[in-house]
Amino acid sequence: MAHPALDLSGITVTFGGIHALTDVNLTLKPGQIHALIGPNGAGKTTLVSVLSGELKPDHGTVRLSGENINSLKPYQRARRGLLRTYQLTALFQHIPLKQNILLSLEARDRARLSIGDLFRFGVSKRYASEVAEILENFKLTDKADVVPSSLSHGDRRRLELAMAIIANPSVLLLDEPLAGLSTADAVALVEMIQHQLRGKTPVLLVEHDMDAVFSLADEITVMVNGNVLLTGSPEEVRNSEEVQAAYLSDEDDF
Amino acid sequence: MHGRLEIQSIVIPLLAIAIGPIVALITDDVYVLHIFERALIFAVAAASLNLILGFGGMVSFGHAVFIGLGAYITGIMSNADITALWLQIPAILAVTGIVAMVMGLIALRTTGVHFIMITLALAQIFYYTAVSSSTFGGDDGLVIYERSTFFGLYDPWDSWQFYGFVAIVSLGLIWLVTAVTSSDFGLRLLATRENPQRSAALGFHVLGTRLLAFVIAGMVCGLAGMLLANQSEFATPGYANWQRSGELLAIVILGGVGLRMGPVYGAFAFILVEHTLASYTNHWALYFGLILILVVLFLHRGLAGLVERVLRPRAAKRPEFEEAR
Repeated sequence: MAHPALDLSGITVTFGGIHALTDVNLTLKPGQIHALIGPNGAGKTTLVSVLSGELKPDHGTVRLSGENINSLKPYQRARRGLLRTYQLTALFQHIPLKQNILLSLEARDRARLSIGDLFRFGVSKRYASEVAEILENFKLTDKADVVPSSLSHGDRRRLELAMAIIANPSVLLLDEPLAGLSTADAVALVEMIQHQLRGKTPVLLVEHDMDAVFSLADEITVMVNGNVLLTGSPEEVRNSEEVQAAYLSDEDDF
Repeated sequence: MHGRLEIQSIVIPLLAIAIGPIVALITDDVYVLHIFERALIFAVAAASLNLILGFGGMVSFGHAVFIGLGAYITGIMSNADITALWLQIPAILAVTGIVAMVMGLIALRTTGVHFIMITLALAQIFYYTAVSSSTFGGDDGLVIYERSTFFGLYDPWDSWQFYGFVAIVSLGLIWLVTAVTSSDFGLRLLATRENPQRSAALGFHVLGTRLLAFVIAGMVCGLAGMLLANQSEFATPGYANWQRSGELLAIVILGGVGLRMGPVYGAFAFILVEHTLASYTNHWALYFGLILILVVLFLHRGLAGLVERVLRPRAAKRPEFEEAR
């Protein structure tokens, strides 16, 4: 417990003259679900991209369990257990759902490319029982042979989450997992996050759905215009006048 | 469902090598073997292209460069009296492997149209080098006086035995490519085709995966060049020309992109159409073009997709591409 699971200090990103992120600090403690909220354009997705390594910050450091991972590429970060989901579902669209899951399991067990991969066959047999269990857990059993491009949005979201969870991450970044879901699907997914992740995996949750955020988060960071406005417990955030002025009141229609 | 497909990957290549001798026996004409040899050779070259195009999503417009390399190495070695395959094959694999590695490292920095143009440009470098190399026949090409030998186990100048040699090598290479697409590596390759960003986010090395596929495809295609050099007793810069690369693309598309047996169907259809039409008109390519357009418009998954539909009319909608198992 010496190091936080994930530690950001002084992250600054500019696109041309625009400050997308200014001196952002954020700490994710082990086992915690930390929500990141803020109005559109606050820089939440930019921050997730910095974390996953798809974007290089101009200043600041990203530490994973105390190790500086600034110079690591996305695939190297993933191998250290830092996994993410995407706001717009990013699946392997034209290969069956089952194969998507197999890829995630392969990545967990041997992400490194080796010549041996050419001589290893029968991936679906090797993981047969594990895949069956995962499909069951995420209620996708009857869709195992369907390609994601013809799944419903809710199913895709569940698959996206499943692929991240089963890879056994040390830190998980969820970028708006509930975006575009129906109320029932959203409730089911929140349940799933509670069930599968709480207490086990530290999660950084970027989300617009306030009900979900307040029911899931142990700690909340509020961002506005690329700055951190406040970090605190759900209670503190709910009662902060600053936050209400900047954000919550605008979002009534959500 | 998968079992059936796997049986197809075994049976179709076997049928492909059997059909030539059957036709030759029926018509009592050994010459037709040469036509089927060409079909098999193009099936191998197209299968290697299908590995990177269909399974890796890399549209290479310079794939024929490896046919050219394989053909020239074979020709140069054979004419220097080094006809033994156990020397020729490692030489071809080494050279095509290194060329593919360099070409891949340059071209794979880009995707889409840029990738097409860079592979085209790099292949044309070889083409113009071959055209201007007077030592190796330049524009006219290189006449090969000796065919490759394998410990005297077969007589390369006997039509039947030579066909057997081409058939066995082709069969092995087509199965090899099939095995690569069915392996764990094949699954990773599919992932990089479908979504490179997500692949990296899972921890896969996207460039490395693509590069390995590119190198394997180059080496297999180099061996197709070896077969073609032996078959035609000739190595010409034209083998590596961009038109030839275009033909390979056409064969893959005709057969069915990303379907394991697509290149076999495509190559046989291509060679047979070429042979039939060429006896009527010099402008056979025009008609082939029309056929290709019709196939692209009406047979979404090419000839292999059509066969699939005929064999199993009531099957559920198949995924657009075949996947690793």
